[in-house]
Amino acid sequence: MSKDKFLGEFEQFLLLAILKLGDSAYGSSIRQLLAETIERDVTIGALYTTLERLESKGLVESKMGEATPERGGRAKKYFKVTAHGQMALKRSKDALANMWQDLALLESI
Amino acid sequence: MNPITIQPPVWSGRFLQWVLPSKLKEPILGDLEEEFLSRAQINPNAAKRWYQQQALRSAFQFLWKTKRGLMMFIFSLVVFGGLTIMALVWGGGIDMFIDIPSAMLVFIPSTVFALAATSSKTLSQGISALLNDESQFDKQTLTNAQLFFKVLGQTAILTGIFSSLIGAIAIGSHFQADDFSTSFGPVFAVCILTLTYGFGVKTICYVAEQKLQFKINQLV
Repeated sequence: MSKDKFLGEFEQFLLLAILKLGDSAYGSSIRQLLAETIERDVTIGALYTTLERLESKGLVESKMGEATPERGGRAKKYFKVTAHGQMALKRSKDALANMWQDLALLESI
Repeated sequence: MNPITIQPPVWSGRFLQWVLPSKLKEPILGDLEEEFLSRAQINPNAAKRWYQQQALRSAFQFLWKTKRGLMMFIFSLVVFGGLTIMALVWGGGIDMFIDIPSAMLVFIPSTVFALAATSSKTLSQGISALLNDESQFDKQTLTNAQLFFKVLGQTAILTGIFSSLIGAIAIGSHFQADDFSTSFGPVFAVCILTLTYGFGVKTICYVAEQKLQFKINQLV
């Protein structure tokens, strides 16, 4: 039986956001996508703390991009989900699907 | 107003920059400024409030990670200062423990001696090493900074003892039997104030020395 822990809720949302954004996945764009899609207003600090943790686990990798005047001449840091990260996402998704099997919520909900 | 000329709030941005780890300064500050300018096109005041909230909340999230050493150092000084003041108040009031000439006899020569033994550059490097956990100094620089605080603390005690002895001699030379019962107490109290100041300085310097030793040990 696998001893790997499942991804946390926020970690999953982050990885999915990075996958959705593709080559445009950097801090600000990830933050805005989360705010628009799941109505979760995350501080930029919390976002990068989790991204650092995901990177240390090998689930994402990063690279510095171009600097722009709108950013005060500062470069963007782009993120990409690794193969290991995609496997972790699939594992969490499959586990959730297994738990949902044969379950039905009340129709009124 | 051209939105690109609107600047983000300065102080919250500077606080965040101070707190952030080096490798995250550029992306985080860049992201915040980019989104700030985008929001400022719609509502500049709301954008400033948003930026301040983001900067301060993010800064507090990193504060314990990046400034733990500084916070504990300041906390230890606050605890020491607070307990000292409590003792002074319970001892009968703070006023009797304040004497400017006694303070000058301890602080001025000890500071001058410490600067003469090392340098003002060593002092500024030492303070930087104490207050900034991310500062990178080599072993020699940290050892020199440690020496500054060692000399400051030791000299403060020595000048305190020396000044107390001067006071004791003055008391012994001038006191008459008639004065003894009324004046000896207050005069003696002032006499040993220099010693008290000396030990107070030494206590703080000892903490600084040990913190620098900790940084030296981490280099090994």
